[in-house]
Amino acid sequence: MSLCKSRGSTTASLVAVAAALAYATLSAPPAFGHHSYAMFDMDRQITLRGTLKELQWTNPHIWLQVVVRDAETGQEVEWSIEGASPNMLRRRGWTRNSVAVGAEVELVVFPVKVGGKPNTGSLSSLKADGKPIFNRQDGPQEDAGR
Amino acid sequence: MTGARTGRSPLLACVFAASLYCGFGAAALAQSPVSEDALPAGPGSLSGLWNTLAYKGSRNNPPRTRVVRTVEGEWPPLRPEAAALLEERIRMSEAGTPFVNAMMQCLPGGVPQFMFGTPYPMQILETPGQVTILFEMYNHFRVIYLDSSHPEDPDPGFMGHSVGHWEGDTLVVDTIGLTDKTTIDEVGMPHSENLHITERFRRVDRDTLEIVTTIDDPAVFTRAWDASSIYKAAPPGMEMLEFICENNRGARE
Repeated sequence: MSLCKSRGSTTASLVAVAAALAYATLSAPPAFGHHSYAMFDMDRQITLRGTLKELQWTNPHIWLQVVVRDAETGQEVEWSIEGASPNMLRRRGWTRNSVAVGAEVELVVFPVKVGGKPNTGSLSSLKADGKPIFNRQDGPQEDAGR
Repeated sequence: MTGARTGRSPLLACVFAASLYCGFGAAALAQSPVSEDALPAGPGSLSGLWNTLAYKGSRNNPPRTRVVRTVEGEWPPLRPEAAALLEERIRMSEAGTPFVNAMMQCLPGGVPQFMFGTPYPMQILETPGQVTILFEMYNHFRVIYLDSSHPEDPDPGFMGHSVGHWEGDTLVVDTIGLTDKTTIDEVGMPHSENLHITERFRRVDRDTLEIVTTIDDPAVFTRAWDASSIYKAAPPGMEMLEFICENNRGARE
């Protein structure tokens, strides 16, 4: 019933695997390599308070642009915070209308590691106008491909 | 993800859920009275929405624990070159620079990686002559042609070319034509374009779908080996959502 295609050259395939190994060993980490939780310092969490400037409610990840006021200097700094997918978040009760642009938000984030893109983080929890919106501890939050 | 049942009869709830998702399977079920003890089996028993419980993301699972194992729980029988490549990719992941798998590039993980689970549901549709699997993950699909044969030398693809037939209560699916742009798992277990996948789909009880996958690729493995995936029926009312990988910003910045 099922016809199998004839096998290609095992030797050629071994050469291909060896070539891939050489590539993996010799080449520098690819540009895509930091699309991973590895770019974030998952051992460190910081709390940010500011105003939601923009919400990108898009797959595979949402992004929040938040203007954060530095309590000491009074300066405003824009942060980019990555969250899970809209699909995952919707199933956990956070929809695109749960938080309005302009809301006062309090976020706990995993910041990028030292040397990474500044003012960037991965979302751990979010409150908007004092109301809890999301906490990754409360349920599944794994994303594929990471 | 199996969710609490709200009705008094789990089987009726299951039939109701199936009727929401599949015309063909629901019709088959509706025509034959089903006792409380009867298990769905054979043609029509796979249709519906399924969630895997086995998916392991990278946040809480070290890379070595995410490598697909054999059904016996052992390390797959990799040839030395492939084993070294996988070890290198594990090391890269542990060092914070993980191997860039297909899904990190907004590409499908393909067969068999998708079948080992994603964090999102898949929907199986059984219609005359074919079984279709819809993946919420990146809105992809694969088609299994029943009682058919492979074309000569199919172009390598992410889902490959699949033909299937029923053996009693088990759908046996044979897949070839798989691109080596994918890996067996997300960590980066390699395969060649001669990868030959045989999957055995079986509804083992009302809530559970088992898929035993035989992985045969002589250039990469010393022998064919089996892995298994367990899926659970989605709670009634759960729907597939659109998932277009449109904003892969983390990969660009």
